[in-house]
Amino acid sequence: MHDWKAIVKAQLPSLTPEVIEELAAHLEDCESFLLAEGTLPAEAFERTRRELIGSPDLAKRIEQARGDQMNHRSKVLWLPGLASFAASAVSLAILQRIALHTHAFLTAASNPRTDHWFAASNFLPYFAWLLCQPLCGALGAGLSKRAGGGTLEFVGSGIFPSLIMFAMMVLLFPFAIFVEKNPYILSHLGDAAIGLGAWVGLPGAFLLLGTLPFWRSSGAARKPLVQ
Amino acid sequence: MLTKIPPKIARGSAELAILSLLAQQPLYGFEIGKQIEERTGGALRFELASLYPMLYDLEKRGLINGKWQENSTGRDRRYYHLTSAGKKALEPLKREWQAFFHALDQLAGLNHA
Repeated sequence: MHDWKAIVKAQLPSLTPEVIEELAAHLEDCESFLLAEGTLPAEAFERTRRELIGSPDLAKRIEQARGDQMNHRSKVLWLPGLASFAASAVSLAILQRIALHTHAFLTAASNPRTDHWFAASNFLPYFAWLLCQPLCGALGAGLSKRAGGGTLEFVGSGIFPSLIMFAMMVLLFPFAIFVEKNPYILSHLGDAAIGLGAWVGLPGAFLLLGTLPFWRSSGAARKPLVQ
Repeated sequence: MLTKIPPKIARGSAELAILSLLAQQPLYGFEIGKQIEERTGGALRFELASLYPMLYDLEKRGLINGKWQENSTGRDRRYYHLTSAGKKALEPLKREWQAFFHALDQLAGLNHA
């Protein structure tokens, strides 16, 4: 007898464990019935498997029928994305707090030997935050993958913090330039571009790094189970 | 031998078929599918992909209720029971279908075809 639970889970990963259990039990009964009828094992397996793979939108229809669950996009994109964003924002807040204490300590210790450390301490929280980003990206991508997200969804969830920053900048810069006619922004467009790179581009690349392990496991999980 | 009913028509009748079966005894998904197929001589057949969305929809509407229980072979299966709301819904549903067939009969003379 095949491990139908593993097959259903691999085929329809977004379903709840209880539904997976129930569908697996159905397929187990179906295969047993065919075998008892005298169907050859390979044919019994193939006919049973067809029940599962015959309807590509089965998971969606079951979720809709149950109605008590959030929709698929929320599970595979918005929630994992928000988790990634929250982790990124919290890590930045913590690191800035630590940096404030360090900064105060270095200011108090007016030893010239510490001057270069003093200058570097301004950037330390930013670089430490960048190093945290792969973990935030992995969190988003992992949650999305676990909920059955495809490549676009788990990558989107992983780099979600950068997408939010990008959206904010895309909205704020034109507002500052065209509505507020902010003279600082207008005379420092180069700085704005650096800001875009520092708060969107670079963190995005680090977040993307965190999604890499999920790229590798992306198509491999289903293959052996449905052959 | 009965003609197999096309899926579009079968889907419409699924609610009546499932509630009628469960009014007699609690059954789990595979049994429901098999009994419908056997009792209609194969004319009505619900595969996994059509059966479970219907069962979950009926459960969401409070007409049936699923509970995990051991079956005769000692395996855990989710048995569906008809709820009191389901019992209440069944009679009007039967009447609706009777009226529907009666109307079709009058229109197309189905009994004499």
